[in-house]
Amino acid sequence: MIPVLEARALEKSYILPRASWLERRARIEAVKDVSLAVAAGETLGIVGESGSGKSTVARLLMALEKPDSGAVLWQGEDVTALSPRQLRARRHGIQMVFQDPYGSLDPRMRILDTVAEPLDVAEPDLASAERRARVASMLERVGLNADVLTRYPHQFSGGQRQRIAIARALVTRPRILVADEPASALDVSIQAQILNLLSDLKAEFGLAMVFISHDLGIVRYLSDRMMVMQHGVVVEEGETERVFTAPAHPYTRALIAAMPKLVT
Amino acid sequence: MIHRALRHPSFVVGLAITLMVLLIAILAVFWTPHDPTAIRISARLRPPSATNWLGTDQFGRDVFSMLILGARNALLVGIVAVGIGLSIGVALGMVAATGEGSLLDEGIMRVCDFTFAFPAVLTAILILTFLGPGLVNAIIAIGIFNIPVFARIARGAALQVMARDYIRAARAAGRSTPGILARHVLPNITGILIVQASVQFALAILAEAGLSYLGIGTQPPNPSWGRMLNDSQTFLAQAPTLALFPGAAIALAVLGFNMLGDGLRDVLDPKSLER
Repeated sequence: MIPVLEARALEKSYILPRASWLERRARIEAVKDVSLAVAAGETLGIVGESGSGKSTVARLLMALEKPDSGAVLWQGEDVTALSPRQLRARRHGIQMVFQDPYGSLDPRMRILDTVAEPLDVAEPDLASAERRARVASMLERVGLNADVLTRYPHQFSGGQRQRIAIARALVTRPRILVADEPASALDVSIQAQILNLLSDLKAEFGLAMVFISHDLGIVRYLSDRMMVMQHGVVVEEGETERVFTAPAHPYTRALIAAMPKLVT
Repeated sequence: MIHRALRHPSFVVGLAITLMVLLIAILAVFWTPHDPTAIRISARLRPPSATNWLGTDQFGRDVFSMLILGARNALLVGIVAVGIGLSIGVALGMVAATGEGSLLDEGIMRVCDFTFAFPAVLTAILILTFLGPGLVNAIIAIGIFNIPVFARIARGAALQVMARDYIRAARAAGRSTPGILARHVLPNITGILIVQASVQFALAILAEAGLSYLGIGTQPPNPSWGRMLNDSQTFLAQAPTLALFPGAAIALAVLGFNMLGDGLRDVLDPKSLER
């Protein structure tokens, strides 16, 4: 079976701005030789501390940035070789939820237009009543009333905004969802609601999901398989339970040991 | 937002002055108390009276009529010159921001820096020596030196907006770069542009007055505040009010637009829009 999302030997480095003309340009290798595959309906968790390259992997998987080398395949098709136009035509199949719901919604756009944006690109000829109905039903699915349609992002709390961002990501019924720390900017009490919602939606829509987090507990709760990243390299990968019960790499063991435990 | 705006003193005063100038300019299109170009030698240099509210000039023309027609010219210059600067400058700025660090970006910004090195009015005089004197050419000249101002502001503001996640989200949704610029970047930098436009508007009125004062702006018999000032200086001893009124008109209009811009800066501040 072809994985719905695959990455082969991804490499990405950035050139740091130099302090003076006399200095050599310093490079930072954000991602080194990362390969992964996600099957339909499966959730892959990626954990690692900040700066480990997990968000770069997310942007590369979303084809928001070009890798220096390696390939990203959506449903078996290499998207790194596509023209911008061809790439845009395929984007409705893979969507993303960002970490900061305060930054990921355009403050000047009504919720209706924000949620409908992927739909507008995928189906530009959609009648406005149908467009509105689809947006309203998706908002309802994430737990928001249709009366939010004409409001603006600043009128909502962080948790509500993240629900709006999720509705937007799923409105075109993508097969793949990349979630980059979707709950870490939220209050702990709201986090659980958002994670449960993602978990429900994943089952309902048969989504393949890449779930990025620095929180091992969340990854354990949501993922079938997981990858541990450190300094841009995958140090361990496997079935989530196997990684938790028998971690092979010292870094994974250190991460697990650092998890807060409930003492009874 | 409207509530806060109406409590902002400089916004309210600026808006009031601006609206007044605007209304007078519109009025002048349809009606002036006297024909502003009618010469009556018998009524030269009259002081303010019931028939000539602000007196007459050296040719016996009604100063009040010339003044309100001058308001129309001043606004025309402001609107068209700022319009030229805004449309071309913002387009250039957004193109530069899209290709940040590219040769095109560097090229556009260095040309802007180059024009900034010359005083604006000097640039306008230079342009007018090529194009010839006249109101239309003055507007073009003032418009041209507005371009780099808006290009630079638009580029900076666009760069700030383009670093936000919602731009990345729009790209992930499949929007093309022109689509993102039109739907996300432009609406989010409008506030800054409006503020700058009101400041540039005041400067354009001042520049037109300056150019007309030098005789290379509005040409006779079209009235212009700057030319009225120039004409009046010969008769400063006989008719001091002749210089007073156009001077006050320029000062008031410029003050109004500056205060409006100042108020808009506070009212449209994105920080005050959040929550």
